This record gives sequence, C-alpha cells and structure tokens, in this order.
Amino acid sequence: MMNERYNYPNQYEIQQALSFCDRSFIDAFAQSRGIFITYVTKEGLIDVLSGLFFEHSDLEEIRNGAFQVHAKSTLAGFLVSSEVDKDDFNLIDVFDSRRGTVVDPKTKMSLGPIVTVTEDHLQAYRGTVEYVQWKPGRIEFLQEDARSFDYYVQKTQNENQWRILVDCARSNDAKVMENWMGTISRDITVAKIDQDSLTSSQTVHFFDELAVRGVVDEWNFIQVKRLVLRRATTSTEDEEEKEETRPSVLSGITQAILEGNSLRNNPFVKQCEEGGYRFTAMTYEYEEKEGPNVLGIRAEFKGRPKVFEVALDSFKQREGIEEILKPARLPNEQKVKMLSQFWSKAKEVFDELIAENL
Amino acid sequence: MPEDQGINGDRWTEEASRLLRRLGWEKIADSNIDIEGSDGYMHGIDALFRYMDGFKVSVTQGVFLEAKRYRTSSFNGAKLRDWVKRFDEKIQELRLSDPFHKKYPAMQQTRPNNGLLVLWFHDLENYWNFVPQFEKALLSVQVSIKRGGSRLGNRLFVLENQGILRLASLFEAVERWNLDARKAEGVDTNLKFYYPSSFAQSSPTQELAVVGLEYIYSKFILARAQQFDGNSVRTADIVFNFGSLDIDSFKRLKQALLLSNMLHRTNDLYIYNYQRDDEFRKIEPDVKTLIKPGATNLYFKPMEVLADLPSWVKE
Repeated sequence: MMNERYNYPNQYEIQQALSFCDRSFIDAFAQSRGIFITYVTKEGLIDVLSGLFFEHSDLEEIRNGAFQVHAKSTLAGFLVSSEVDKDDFNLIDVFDSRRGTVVDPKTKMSLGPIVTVTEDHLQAYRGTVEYVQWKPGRIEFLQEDARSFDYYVQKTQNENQWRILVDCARSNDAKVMENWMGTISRDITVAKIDQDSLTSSQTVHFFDELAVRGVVDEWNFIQVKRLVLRRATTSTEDEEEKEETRPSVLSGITQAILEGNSLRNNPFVKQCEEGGYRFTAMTYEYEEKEGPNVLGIRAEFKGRPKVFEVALDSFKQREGIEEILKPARLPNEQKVKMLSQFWSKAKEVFDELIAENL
Repeated sequence: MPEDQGINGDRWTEEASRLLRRLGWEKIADSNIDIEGSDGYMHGIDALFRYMDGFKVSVTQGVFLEAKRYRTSSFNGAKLRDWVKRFDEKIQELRLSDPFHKKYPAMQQTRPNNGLLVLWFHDLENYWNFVPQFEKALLSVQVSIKRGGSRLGNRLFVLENQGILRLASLFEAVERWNLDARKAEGVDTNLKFYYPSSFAQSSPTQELAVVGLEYIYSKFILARAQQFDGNSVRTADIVFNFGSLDIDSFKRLKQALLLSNMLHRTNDLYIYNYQRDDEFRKIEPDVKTLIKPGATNLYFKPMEVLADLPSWVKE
C-alpha cells in the first residue's frame, strides 16, 4: 500500500499509459530524449519507448500526459431548491434512500451509494449514476451503451438549497440527471444557467464578468484563448458555428477584460452582434499568483436548450529557466473543486443578469 | 568550416568508434565509406556497427554511425532537421541495397534500421548556455508518420555531449570496478550488463558485455559481477544510476530493482550515482534503509562527472 505510488510499472503498463497520451505528447517525449523513430505508428513508437528504464520524474511525466487526455470531462450544474417551509427536505436522503434502485425505467438510471467528500469546511457528497443509452445500430439491432457518471452535491449558503454538479463524460449525462430530478417531488424547483434566459448582449456581459470573477484566490486571469459563436440560420433549426482563435481578435478581447472595459464596446464583438452571432463558449487562461501552474477553463453553453457547462481545458506548469509549459496533472478532487467554484460564480453572474430583467 | 571535416572530422569518427567498441559493439567496416544505395547513388557513412541485443535474444542490431563535430554557434534547428531527414533516407537506401549487403555480409543477419548520430560540440565553454537551444531544436524536428504504404521505419538516435560523457563515465566506473577486483582478487570479475526478462517481453534474461541502445537512453543500467571470496563465489548486483538522487526517485528505483531481481539478501549491492546532489549525504542512511532494510551490504559510490572526453577515447 505504501509503495503503490512508487510502483515501477512493467513494460505493458507503460505501453498502456503511453497509449492514452496524444501522439504529439509521445513525439515530444521521445524527441526531447534524442529519439526519432521514422515512419512508425503510435504503437511502434510506444514499443520503443516502453523498452527504456525511467526514473521517477519520467514516469510522472508519462502519467501527466495520460491524465491530460482523461481530464476532458465537463461539469454541468443545477440548483435544487425546496419550498422554504419544507424543513424536512433533505436532498441527500433523496439520493441515499434510492441507492441501488432503478429510478427511471426509460433510461434504466440507477443510483450508486452516496459518500461524503470533505471540501474545506463545507461538507460535500459524491454519488454515481448508471444508465443506458440506446443507439440504433446499423444492422437493425438496438445497440445498448452502458454509461456512468459521478455527481457532486453540496448545500449552498442559501436556505433549503443544494447545488448538484454532474461530471459529464458524455453530453447526455446532465440531461439524464435533470430529467429525473424533475420527477422527484412537486415541492422542489430545479434551476440551471440557460442561455435562453439571457439576451444576446447579456450573454456578452456574462462571459465578460466570468473571466475575472470565475477564478479568484490564488489565480490571475491572463487571456482569452478561444471563442465560439453561433447563430441560428434562417432556414432550419440548425445553427452556424464559428470558432475564433485569431490572436489579433482574442488579444483585443483580453485587453478589454483586463482593463475593465465592457466587451460590448469591442469592435469584433459589435460586428458579431450585428451579424446575429451569440457567444456560446469562451476558454479562459489563468496563472497561479505564486506558483508555476497555468490553468485553462472552458465555459460553454451546450445542447438544446443551451445549458451551461464548465470544463478543464488544460493544466500546465512552467518549468526551468525558460519557463517552458509542460503538461501537469491536476488531481480530480481539485479539478472538481475549481470547476464547482467557477460554476457557482457563473450562477451568481447569471442571477444578477436575470434580476435586471425583472 | 563550421563542421570539422577532414582531419578533425575523421578523428572524431575514430573517437566515437572507440567509445562504441567499449560498449561491446562490433565495428563492421573501416571508417568513412561510400556505398551504392538502392537508388543507384553513392552514400557516405562514417562507420557501421552491430551489437547483440540484450533485450531480444538472438537478435543483432545493425547501426549506421554518423559522427559530427560542431561548434555551438554554427548549429541551429534547421541543420538538425536536415541531418535527421538525410540520415533516414540514407539508411533507407542502404538497407535495401544489394551492393551494400554484398560488401558487408556481416550486416545481413542484423536488423539494419538503426542510426546513431553522435554529435560533439567542441567549444565546451559555450556548451551549457547552448543546451536550451539544443533541446528546442530536438523538439522542432518533424518526423514522418506512417500512413500505410510499405515505407520502412528507421530508429534514429541522437547522442550529444551529455549522453557521450555519461557513457564515458559509465566505463570509467566499470574500469575502476575491474581494477579494484583485480587488486583484491587478482582476477577479472566479469562485469556483465544485466538484461532482466521481466523487462524484456518474451525474451529470457541475459548478461552481456554489451550496452545497447535502450540502455544508452535509460536512466539506470543494471549489471552483475562475480566476486571471489577465498574459495566461494558471490554475485554482486550493480546499478549505474543516472537519475535524480531524491527520495522519490530512490523509491521508484527500489521497485524497479525488486521487479528485475536485483535485491538479494546475500548479494552485495553497489549503486553508482552519476548526479551530484548535496542533499544526498543527508538522506543516504534513509535511502539505505529504504532499499535494503537492516542490510550492511549496500554501497553507494559516485561516478566521475567528466568535463571532456577521457584519454582512452581520444587516444
């Protein structure tokens, strides 16, 4: 047990770990060591690399590379509120009492045990859900796809209110949870951050505010790395999506955010609004105030209707005198904590904007 | 000329060859040869080697050697990209060439898809400042990826000052081991490099007086030697450790040693450390307890950190 963290992996385990990594990571791993294998598949390259003896830092580098790919899940959130005078309502009991049962026959959704995870001074809970996604197959058989996801529940500062965050590996995960929660009780309301409640210019304001309010404490906002815009096409329900990664555009947006100038005044943003485009996603980059880490968070309205999700886009650390950015691993618990906080802040901003409309 | 051709270049080829022979590699051809490739053109190679692969029993690796001697200020990423590309093409042409195999039948039984570029930056006073630039250059090479088709892949390895000096240091340590043994016993102790089967998929354990390419690029190299104690023979387990000297690294190393059958209660264990770390002295007792609790037969020895090529390479 003590030695598990320092186990030396056998060749097969190293191959498996490397196979989780991106090709670009493996190429860089090999080349930085002076190894160039030409005209080879990823497996061929892994074959050579797995034959070497590594020290601890090499193995950690490989683990980070593997986890980088695995950390791509998104977090979708809901606020569950019960009627103010229903003091005996406890959302945790709702989950716990249904442990091991199928709660939705349509999706075969079942709940696993709910456990506590301590989160600083606030107690949080983690549970799992399993369900089945039916996919029509090519051969007239219905293909059954068994899926599972984790979710986190925490009481908020408000009375009778709980925050649920679904760790979505697949985009349908949050919907499954939401649909079921709508059936639990008449006395509860489920609130989300949904884009339809915001006007186009409020959406801009939302993303604008989120940049600096989303991550505070030990982090500084550095820049916007990516922007996604969508507009409804006139003909069908389809949408036209545009991804913006041009440094010339993004630096203007970053500048506006850093200087506290409303994004609505940015020429590119104005142009988009006039063209009927709405912001649907923004990727923000933060750096640690006192530390080597650099964090990328993607905030996105996804699905139909557009529900807000947050995801870890990247996690790197600066190394050496040249401060080269290398992949680093953010433990899952910390990832969930950061993204939960980000989502909560997003809900605050959202609520403020909604209040304007009333 | 930025690259030393002529006398200095030739001499470097000889020096590199001397080092590789010390690794137990067999030199096939005289240095600096020109051979016709399968494309009908003449290709020049600095040297040809072969060695027995410790991790794959009954496999011999054939290696094309390119030896380059350079000044750091004359080097850039574009040159490295060019060398790698040309080297790859050259090996491709030669390994498929009939004249090549006829002239060097010793290569026929080998896997001739290895290229070793031994690169020596001779302006040592500039070398350490130059290292980050070199690392960037390594990452800038775009290696062609297999996309179907019959184009064969080659294994190309770049070894420059740090890697070269590590190997030289390895053999300084081996030499010292042999000398000590000779002094004590009057016999050679047959230090052989140890290739454990647990790390060699489907290949049995081997002990060879050869350091192969995998070991050149590894952070530790395992070896075994016989020690004579009056009438009895004892085995000494030896580790040449090029990794960091912090406690985490030793925890990993210990697990690797367990996995490769290098921790025996009665065998003496010698760990030769290459890196220098002032903190190591403080943690040395803890590391000993970690690796071989309660044992008195675990010895740490330092390896020589060379600033330049040793005399037996230059000789």
